[in-house]
Amino acid sequence: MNWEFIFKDGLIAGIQGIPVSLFVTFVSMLIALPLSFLCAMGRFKRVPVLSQLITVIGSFLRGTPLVVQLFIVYSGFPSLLNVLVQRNGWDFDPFGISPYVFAFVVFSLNVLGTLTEVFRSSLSAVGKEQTEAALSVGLNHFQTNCLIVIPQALVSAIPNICNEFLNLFKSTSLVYMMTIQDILGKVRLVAAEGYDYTEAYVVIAVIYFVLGFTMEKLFQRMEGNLKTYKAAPQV
Amino acid sequence: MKLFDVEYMVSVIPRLIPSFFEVTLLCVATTLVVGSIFGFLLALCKLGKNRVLRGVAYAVTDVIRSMPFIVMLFLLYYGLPKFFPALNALNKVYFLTLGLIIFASCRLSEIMRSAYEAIDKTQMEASLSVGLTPPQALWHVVVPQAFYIALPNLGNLLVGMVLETALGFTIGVYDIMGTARVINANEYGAHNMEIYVAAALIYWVISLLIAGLTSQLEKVAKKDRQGGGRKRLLKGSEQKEGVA
Repeated sequence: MNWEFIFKDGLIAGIQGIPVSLFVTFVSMLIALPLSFLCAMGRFKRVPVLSQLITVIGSFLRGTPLVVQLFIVYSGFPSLLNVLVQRNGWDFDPFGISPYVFAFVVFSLNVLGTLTEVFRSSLSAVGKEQTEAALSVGLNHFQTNCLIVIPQALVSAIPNICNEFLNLFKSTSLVYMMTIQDILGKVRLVAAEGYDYTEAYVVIAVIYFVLGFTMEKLFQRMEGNLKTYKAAPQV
Repeated sequence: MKLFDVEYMVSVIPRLIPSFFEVTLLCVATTLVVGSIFGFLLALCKLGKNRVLRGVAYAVTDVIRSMPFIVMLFLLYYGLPKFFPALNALNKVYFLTLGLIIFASCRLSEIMRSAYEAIDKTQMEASLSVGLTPPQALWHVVVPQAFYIALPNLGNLLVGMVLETALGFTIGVYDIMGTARVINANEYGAHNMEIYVAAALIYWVISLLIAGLTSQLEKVAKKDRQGGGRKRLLKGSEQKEGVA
């Protein structure tokens, strides 16, 4: 075991890759959160065509592996765009799109599938009597949603959102297939000089463990602070 | 050039299906069997009285749960043959299965622990007071109820396992995704979209089947739930009867 690699080169390269991973995670989560909330509201209110479409798309996004979705978007879409470009003669290079765009699309879609379910279950957990009470007091539907239902739904959804954030952070380890240099990419690059692949993966595992542990503790602290706003349990 | 060749996609699907039965099904079945054993042992450690064992079990679960699956896979594939050179000749499917077993044991231990803790202690006390021995009480009273509570999580775990076998292609296992990449390479990347969409459709159908199976199993196991699965209409009168 090449201990010098683990403590010097590998660790430094890995820490350089952390911002890239966190960047992809945060942006994908930011894109997916409002969209998935809208989709969950659509399904909850049973909007005629939209809710069936969201159900099918959500089932597809949750039922296929992330790798397959990644390859469909990264390998498939440029070829598709290439066919369109060559047919219509546009001035556009589909193979020159930055891999970050593909990364954001893939990861936000994947998280969308799961978060829609999370928000849908948290919206159902609020209970109909809240809506009935608010309407009887004199609020209209829009005010009821904004002031009463949504805050309670969001608070009960937070543990699941944090869990999904951690899962997304672990899934972003796959961006190396799109030639983005995150933790895995950078450490493997440095390890290729001396074929220290085992040591490289030990370093990567340690980095992911430290980051995941820190994030879990942070989320637990956040959930504890927000517990005061939790909805009353159902009878 | 066609934008999306549906005929080609339909013709690729029969070429991808045999790899499912040869690799994926075998991996997942082995994982469930062996993972249940180790998951049960881990759950016992977590629920037991020995503080050292409990700490070790929680630490192991924490470390493994915070690792991405692909990192664990590479760690096993590159790391184990370094310490045991004889493993270099081992078929790569075993490394994939080992990684899946480790992941499944951790998740199963969490599922079993949460399902066991969701059952009231009064069930155990009541069955012991009636005259059952602790193993009998566990097997006939607690475990069926815990199983019903754990079923949705078990379904999710099964779907997750099948989807995670797709990462085997990174170490060279020829499952659905690996075969898809080989076919894609043979065609010089001409039918990228069709091949990967075909693989995605196969995985989607499998996950839908597992979800259907889980809901059927829930209906069968519903009679083991506390209350026998019957709807309770009169809540107040029953309590008054108990007090009197």
